[in-house]
Amino acid sequence: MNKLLSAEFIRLFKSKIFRICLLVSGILGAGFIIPKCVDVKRHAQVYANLSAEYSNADSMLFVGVMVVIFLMAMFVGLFAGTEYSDGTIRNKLIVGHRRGSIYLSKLVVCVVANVIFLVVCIFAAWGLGSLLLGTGMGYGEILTKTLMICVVTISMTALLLLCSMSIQSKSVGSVVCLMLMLGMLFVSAYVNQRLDAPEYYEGYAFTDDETGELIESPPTKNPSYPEGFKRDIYEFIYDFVPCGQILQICFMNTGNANLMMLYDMIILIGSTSAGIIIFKKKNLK
Amino acid sequence: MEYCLETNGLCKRYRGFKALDGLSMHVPKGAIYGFIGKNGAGKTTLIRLICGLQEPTGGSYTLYGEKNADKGIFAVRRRMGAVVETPSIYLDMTAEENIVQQYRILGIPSMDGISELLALVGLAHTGNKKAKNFSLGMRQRLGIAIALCGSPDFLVLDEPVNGLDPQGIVEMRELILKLNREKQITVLISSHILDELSKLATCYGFIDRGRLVKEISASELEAECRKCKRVTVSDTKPLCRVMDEMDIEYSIISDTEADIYSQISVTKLAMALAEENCEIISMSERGDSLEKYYINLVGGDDNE
Repeated sequence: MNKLLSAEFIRLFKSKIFRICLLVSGILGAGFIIPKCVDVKRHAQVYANLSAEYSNADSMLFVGVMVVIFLMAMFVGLFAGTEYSDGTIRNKLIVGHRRGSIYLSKLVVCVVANVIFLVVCIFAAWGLGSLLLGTGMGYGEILTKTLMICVVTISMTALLLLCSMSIQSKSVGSVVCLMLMLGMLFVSAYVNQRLDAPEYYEGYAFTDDETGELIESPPTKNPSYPEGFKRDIYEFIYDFVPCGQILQICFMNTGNANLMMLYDMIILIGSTSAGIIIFKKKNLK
Repeated sequence: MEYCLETNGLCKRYRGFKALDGLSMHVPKGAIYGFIGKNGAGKTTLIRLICGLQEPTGGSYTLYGEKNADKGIFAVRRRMGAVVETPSIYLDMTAEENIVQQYRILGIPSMDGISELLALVGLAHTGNKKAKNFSLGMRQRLGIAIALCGSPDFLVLDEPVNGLDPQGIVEMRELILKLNREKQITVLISSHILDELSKLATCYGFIDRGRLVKEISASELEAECRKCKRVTVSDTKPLCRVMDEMDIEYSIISDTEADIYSQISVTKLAMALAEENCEIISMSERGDSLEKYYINLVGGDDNE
């Protein structure tokens, strides 16, 4: 497998797609800081009356990650799909490399590439943000969040590679990877919205103009508030789906980190095993 | 005889369609094995199986003594190189980068020999030109160069002259002969361009509907495809009389044509026919071509 890894890494670093994704990741990271900076400068008076957390770069540090995950999907689809479309995967099989080794070497290379994209995006935002707006988050917190995002990236990449290696067409594979990412993000955003819904609508009180009577309405129950088993399911989905984990890490507290890491391990092992089994049974042309 | 590849009742079925139906073949070491069959006969399927791209649904094959189900098959594959259908090359890399990449895949530490390999296939001067800008012939040659990277003992080429121009075909033929003669590489070539194969192969395997119809050496085939002279005359009646008198073996094709199998003196025959007022219009060397032999073997129209 070392031979395959060596060959794959050389191919990665020479790859035009990798270089473009790297550049776009950096631009995305920095790109979200600049509008915030312009806004802070333009409304300096308003921000002066607000606490520092509103004017520093903290809220923008991880926004780019939500776009970079789509770059990751596209990259995995194209990088793995090229081997099918150019037929070069045959060169490895013909000379006796095992399918499992080929699959795992691809997983390692794609994980490394995707982690690089994320780190470049976050560090570009962090660097520019610190320079222009300053940050409230400490190094430790930023690095912990970055590390956690990288762990989620591993499971996310395993899922993307499963799709990409199961489909022999580069273009179809890339589209499926993007759709998977979009689907996961949509599900996570929907679940987040449902979980964030208030259990009760606030009560209200008003004085009747004619009678002068004070009319009070008690808080009313939100019928779409998920409770019991339904809420457990939603919480599980939110913690389990990699995009849900990313949302939690980027925009909220880090949630239940241990549980999320356990889920990542399950996704990684499950999707990689499934991918290897499918790839082993695949009739290559 | 030692074989580098033997298949035993090899079967491959795709959802109700039998691509290979109990195919048994034997590729002798050092041979150029011409694998002949029409489109859809199962040539490429067999090549995919022996290259490990697909698994057989029945039967087995042995590569240098290792069965396909044995663990040792992976190590033995290292002795193989193949170009299956289209050449497997990275289009965004140069010829040299493609070779370097294959060296890495094979774990060859030294990059020596890359320029010699490129020179061997006639791609020494491609420089920084990306493979995507190569002609079909250049891509085919690069595919062969990649297949030759690990100094294989067994080279499998699937339709190597498909789409090549006449000069490319000649160059490809010379390259294959050179590899076989100078490096003692056993070559399995699948093709349906029979005329081209007949200039290369030392033995043949004829495949039809997933079955091997016949395996034959080039010398055996030559004996079967007997050489003759086709003569066109004004009338075959006097020709018959003359040839019977001269004790010549022949067969009549039509009122004006006949095939002569014996070695004859053309002058004597012409003079004897002139005495009978029979004119020789034309005479040409003929032999049952590989093409004709193949059609006879697989049944011609029945198979169309």
